[in-house]
Amino acid sequence: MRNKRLLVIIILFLIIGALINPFGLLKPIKNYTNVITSPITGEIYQTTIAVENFFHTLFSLGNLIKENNSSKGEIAKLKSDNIKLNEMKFENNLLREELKFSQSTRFQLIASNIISKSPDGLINSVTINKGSKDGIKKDQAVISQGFLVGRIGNVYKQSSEVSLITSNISKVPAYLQDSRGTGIVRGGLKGLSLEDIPLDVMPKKNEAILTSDIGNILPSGIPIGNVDEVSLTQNDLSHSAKIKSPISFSHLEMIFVIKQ
Amino acid sequence: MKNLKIYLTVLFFVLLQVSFVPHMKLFGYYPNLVLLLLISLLILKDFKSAILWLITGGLLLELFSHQFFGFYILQFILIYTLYWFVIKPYLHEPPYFLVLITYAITAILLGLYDSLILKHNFLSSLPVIVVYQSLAGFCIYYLMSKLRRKQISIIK
Repeated sequence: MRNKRLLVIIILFLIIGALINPFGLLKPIKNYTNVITSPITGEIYQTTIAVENFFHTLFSLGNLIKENNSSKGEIAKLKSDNIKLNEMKFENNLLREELKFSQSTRFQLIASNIISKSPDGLINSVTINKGSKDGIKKDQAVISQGFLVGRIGNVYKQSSEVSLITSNISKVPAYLQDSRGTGIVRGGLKGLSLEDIPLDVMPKKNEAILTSDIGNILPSGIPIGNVDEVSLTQNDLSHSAKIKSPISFSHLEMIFVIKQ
Repeated sequence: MKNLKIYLTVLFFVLLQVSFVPHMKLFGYYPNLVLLLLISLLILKDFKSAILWLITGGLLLELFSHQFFGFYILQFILIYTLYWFVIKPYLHEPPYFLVLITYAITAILLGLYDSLILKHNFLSSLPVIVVYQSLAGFCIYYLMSKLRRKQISIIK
């Protein structure tokens, strides 16, 4: 009898919760849950990545030695290129000074740590330790090592949800850097792909893919990845191609939110 | 006191689910250990009390969920209802192979649920979901059943 009463109370509570959720009244509860549990979940998350990296390094020692030997020749060449680049940089600065260009960084970035991930294996999203009080807003772009990794979803006072571009439901307008063809970057279990490319555009292998400002959702020009395995599946209206990103989405630690 | 231990175990599994389990991704998928734990409790413990544990586990997951409120609770209630009407007669001290089949069926139902709600292509990930979820669930069930036998032998 007591159990039944408790069950009825819980079900009523759930119905009320489902009804008030669209009005954002559950946000403070979610915010405080993230704040209270973030020391534990954040620590477990970061420690697991560190352990994974340790074992990964251990098992790839043999490959590292081979790569080290082949890198020595490349280092010498890069040193020489670096000298030439420094010279060009000096000339560039002189020209800017001449023409009085203002040197400003393009984006303002907010650094944040990942404190937890979505409980569901199919939804690729993470929670970060920055929220509305830090200037985070919905749909802001999120990058790691200069590449797009996701977009801000729900925002709470001290935390936010980031929907990763590898998510099944993610759609990012993008363009090919050389051929200038546009498309939509979609995620999923098979990885990232650029779809809806016009038929008259031929993507080249290793061609860079960047965000487009179509729809005014994301800033233009953020790198997403490169064309990999140009497997053009032709339907009546468009092509598609697989994308290779240098970002390891399962090993994200610190990410940056672009403050637009 | 006994029930408090169960609720604390559920809370522990929820914290693991959002911090540690995502690193156990295989072919882009990782299982829901909270649900698997609750199904183990459903089979091993009191079926009637299990609904409260399921709802508690669901509620705790909702706090970390990036979906609409009720995504996990609805999932858990649907599974409980199915178990109550269809599978319950076969779950009295079931053999291990039947437990494995139960987890496989649950994995298929979860895949269907996710495909309807998340508009995900269920068939492309079905083998991974079924195998991974079933094996993980069976491991949790095996551990819980060993613990239960140990508790019973201590009481005796």
